[in-house]
Amino acid sequence: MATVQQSEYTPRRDYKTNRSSPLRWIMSHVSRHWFLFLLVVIFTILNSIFSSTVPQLIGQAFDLFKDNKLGIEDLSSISLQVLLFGVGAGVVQLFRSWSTEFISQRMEKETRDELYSSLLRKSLTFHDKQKIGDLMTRATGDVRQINFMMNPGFNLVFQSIVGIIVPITFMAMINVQLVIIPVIYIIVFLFVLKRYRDKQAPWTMKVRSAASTTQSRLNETISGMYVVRGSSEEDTERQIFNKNINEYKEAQVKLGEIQAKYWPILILGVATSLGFLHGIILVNSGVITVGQLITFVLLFQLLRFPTFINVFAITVLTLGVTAAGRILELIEGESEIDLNPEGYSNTIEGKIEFRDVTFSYNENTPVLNNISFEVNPGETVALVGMTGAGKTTITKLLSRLYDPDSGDILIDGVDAQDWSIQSLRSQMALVEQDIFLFSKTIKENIMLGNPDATMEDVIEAAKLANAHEFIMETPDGYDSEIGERGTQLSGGQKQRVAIARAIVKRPRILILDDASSAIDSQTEDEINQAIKDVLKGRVSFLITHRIAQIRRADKIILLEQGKIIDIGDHEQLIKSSAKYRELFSIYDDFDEKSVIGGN
Amino acid sequence: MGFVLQGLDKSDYDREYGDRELLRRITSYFKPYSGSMILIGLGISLAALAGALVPLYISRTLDTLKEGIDFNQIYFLVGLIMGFTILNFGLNAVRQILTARTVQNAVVDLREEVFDALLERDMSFFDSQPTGRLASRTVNDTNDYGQVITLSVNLLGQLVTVVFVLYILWNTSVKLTVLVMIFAPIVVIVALSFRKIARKVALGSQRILAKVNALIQETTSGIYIAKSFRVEDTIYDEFDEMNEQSYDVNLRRGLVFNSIFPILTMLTGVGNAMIVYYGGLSILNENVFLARLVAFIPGGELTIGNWFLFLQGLTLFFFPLISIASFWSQFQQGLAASERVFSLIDAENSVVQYDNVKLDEHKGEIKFDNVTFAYKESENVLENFNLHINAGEKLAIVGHTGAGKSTLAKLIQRYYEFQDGEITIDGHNIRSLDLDHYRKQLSIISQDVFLWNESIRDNLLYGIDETDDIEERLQAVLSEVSALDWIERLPNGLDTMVGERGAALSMGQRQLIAFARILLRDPTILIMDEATASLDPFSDLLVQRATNRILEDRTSIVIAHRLSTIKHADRIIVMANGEIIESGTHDELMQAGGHYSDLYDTYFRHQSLEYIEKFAESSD
Repeated sequence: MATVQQSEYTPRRDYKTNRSSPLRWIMSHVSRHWFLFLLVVIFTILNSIFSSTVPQLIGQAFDLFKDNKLGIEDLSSISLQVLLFGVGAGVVQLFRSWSTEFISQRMEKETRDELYSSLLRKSLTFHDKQKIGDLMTRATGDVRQINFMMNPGFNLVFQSIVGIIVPITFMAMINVQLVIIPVIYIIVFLFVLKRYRDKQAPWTMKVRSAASTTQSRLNETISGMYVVRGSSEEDTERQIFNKNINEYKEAQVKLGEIQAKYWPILILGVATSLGFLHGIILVNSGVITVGQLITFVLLFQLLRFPTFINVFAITVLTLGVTAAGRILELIEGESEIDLNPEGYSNTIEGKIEFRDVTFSYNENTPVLNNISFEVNPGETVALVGMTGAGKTTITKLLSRLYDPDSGDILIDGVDAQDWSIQSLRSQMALVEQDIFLFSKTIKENIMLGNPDATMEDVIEAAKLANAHEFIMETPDGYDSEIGERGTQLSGGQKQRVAIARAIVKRPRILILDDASSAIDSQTEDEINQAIKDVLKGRVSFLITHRIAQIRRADKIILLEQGKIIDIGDHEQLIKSSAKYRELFSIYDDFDEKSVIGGN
Repeated sequence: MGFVLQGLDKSDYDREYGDRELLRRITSYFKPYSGSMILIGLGISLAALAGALVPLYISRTLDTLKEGIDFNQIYFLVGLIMGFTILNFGLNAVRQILTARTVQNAVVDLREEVFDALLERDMSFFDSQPTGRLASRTVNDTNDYGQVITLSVNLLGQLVTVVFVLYILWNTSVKLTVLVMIFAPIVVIVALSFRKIARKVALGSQRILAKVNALIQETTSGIYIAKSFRVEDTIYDEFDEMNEQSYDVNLRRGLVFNSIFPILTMLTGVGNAMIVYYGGLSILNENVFLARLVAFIPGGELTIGNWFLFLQGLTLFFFPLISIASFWSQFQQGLAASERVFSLIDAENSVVQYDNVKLDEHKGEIKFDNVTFAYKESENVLENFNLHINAGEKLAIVGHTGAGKSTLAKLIQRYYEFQDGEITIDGHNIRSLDLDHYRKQLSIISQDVFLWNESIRDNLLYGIDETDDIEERLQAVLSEVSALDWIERLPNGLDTMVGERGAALSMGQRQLIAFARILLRDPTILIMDEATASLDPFSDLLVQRATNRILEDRTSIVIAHRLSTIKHADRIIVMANGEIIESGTHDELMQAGGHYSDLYDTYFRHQSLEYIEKFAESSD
């Protein structure tokens, strides 16, 4: 099994980002907007400077007043400056916030784009291994976390850091001694903040999980209300509910207690008083003036903002990095099938052979266990078995999404691994269990199977798939748009469009995973007709529950837990296989004896 | 300032209860905790007072600096300042903890009451509400209800602060206080207008974002197909468009939400400048134009300390004010949430029980005598309906959607109260039966099999008396429904967890377990709505066999979707428009060639061996 990773598709936008670590990856995305980032830094610093200038001006005014030197011009001038710097601080803050918002939204958009593009380049095998739910969470939830990491995360944290440094610098500019108490405060604050976060984090999670447990258990109780009442289990349910809501209550109360004891607020207040005292001592020794004392007190109060910082903003920083890690994991993920472009390439006749094939997805229990069978060109093979028996796995091995652990798969006598994957897959078509159609016209959807198809080809395929009639009944016929913004098709109609899409490719091998159920006989007729007609002229693998289809198949393979228990056509199996006969035992007009006994 | 942004995403609900009535009811839940509530009220008021005294004493201290520094006095004053700071923090912490405890206790009380009410509701109540909504009301809306109290407590604190601060400022300088108070409405108007705009943006963007998110998820799930057809470009285009839209909407929303804090900062800046200027003017006593404007207001002389006090007072005054401005709409939301909770508790039952007759006969004979029933007034679903089901009979019901099949079943289950006529079970009027006892003799299987998120064993034994031979009984019923083999093959056997709603098992397996449970329970009456989803032929076989098995030994009423079930029934009734139009065995009805044979043609024909054989032989 070669490990050369060859890309099947080149995305339109290439992101040359540093993927060596989540943090570096985030930074390389930020640096795409270096100009905005620079603005943010500048505006943040200006914001703090402006905010710190106002206390300075006020202090000046106070000093002038004290020395009886305050004249109306001075007052007007100082007031005007206070106005300008005060409002200016707000204006700069606005631009800063907006710039951060631009960066964070762009980062969300671009990381999502990068993830999506890289997903498009991965092989089908890679995608087969993914859980759809996982992918979707990464594309929406995790990407959103990166957004939050910038704003409010970085926004608030950076603002706080600058909001500590600048005021303290201004204090130092008055007199260096003044910064002693503020600096001690900051050190103590950081220490206490960390302890607070450590204490609070587990309880925040406990609250969330208690709420979710309570709600989901209650959901269950309500869904099963009839069972509860019918079994007189009301008291049991009540006990469970009470236990849950009390745990929820305890968690909330505990969290509230922790939050109430947010010591930094107290420490700041005490520190301000001490600083005030310290300042008075300095005034007394003539080191600073009263006005400067007032400036100092007002500057000290600027430290309130970082103190009240929302602890969540800090958490959101780490959450963002974790989310980035998960996204990178996907982007860097690889798959292992070698595309083998130089491999064997020819028109497939349709002779397929599985020889002693064993396969497991994750090295635990084998999903297929020594499977052997032969299929001749033009035959229809029905794969029948319970969920997990191995039916879909056989088709996945055929299209070389995976390679068997042992054994061989031969197509037209040539080992599948010697074929060029491109050649193989271009002659295969799949109709999947959960039909996915694009929000485009019906014609465009069908033509996905063969972009070079003419309108006649499309109509021919649609007729074969028994879809032409209902298509002609839609408002715009083949030009009708389907999906969210257009015509809604029923499940059966979607299936037939998907069948037409597969057929227009003129595949040599058709794989039809038919899981739909019909509520009424007419829909059943339509689907059965469609399936029946498209199976001809090629090798077809049919995974279906429909006895009508199974009975018609040229070869029926009965699978149980990865082993073939019986194989043959209907006539053969009805005589030789007890298990197959059992399937017909439910029909009371089924005459078992006459079937076994003779013809 | 996050509270300004709180609660903007929720939509409005219709209100039926009056505000006053609601408030009275809400406060009634706190009566048992009135002691704590008083303490909380005291605590928050004292805390606010202490907080307001801090700037006052700072300003006093500043004033003493003019006359030469007496350190004894300074130490005293600074001591007072520190004392009030600590007092403010301490009292706030205590009242926060006390509030949390009290509110949570009241919330638990309410939740218990809601749960009890749910247990008493008519079953029809659950039909009319999505399960998720009921659970959300019990958990989330009760949270919001608790918030009403927390909000009100905070409001009290803020009001007290504002009053104290204003009092102190007024006694210092009436003129400046008046100026501050003129400024206040501007701040409030700004805060309120912002909330209005932000709310519109929030609601509008919420809808679009939900759609865009769904589409992004869809394009992600379609990558596999896109790749199989080598049309990656096509799906990328779809994705790109969605991504752009998401960016546009989110950006607009973010820009709006990010403006409030800066705007308030600007306003504070204006306020500060105003205080500085007018304060200075008062000190200077200058006869400038702007001073003449406010000359008529008393309060001229101002000290340094007072000047400083006003600057501090401004901040102390503004934040509570903004919070008060945001209070009303959040309060309204809390009221709306509380109302939703109360409406759950107050919902009335219509199903009547006038006696406590315990059904002992275990026969299962059901009689409908001229029964009339309508869900809504003047829309009779059943009218003068008559039906006699014998004890132990296997009855199949067929008919188009809306014929009345499930209504019939639900009336037997006592989901609804019928308007006219009589229903008797084993000769007793159904309204006289002890409902709890009656329900124990009834078993229901719906199309969507219900399983608890627990082990197979726990699901089977739920509500079953665990006698000494329970293990044998378990094995016996499981083998009767052909479930024993595959359960034994599972890694944890009977102790395997089935997952939410049974997700860890296949559909066929879920049904078999539900059937085994029926056998274990051995009810007198079984009501079944056959599932229609398709199973693989082997599972289907097992389910068909098991279905036939559980219909025996009791009165069974099946809304049939399988041909084999119909053929096994003792009697089939054909319903249309709330009436029984045909009745008999399958062969009798087919021969009659009426409505039944039409139904057969539409729903059952493809399940017959005849159809299969015909299809198999059809030409290519």
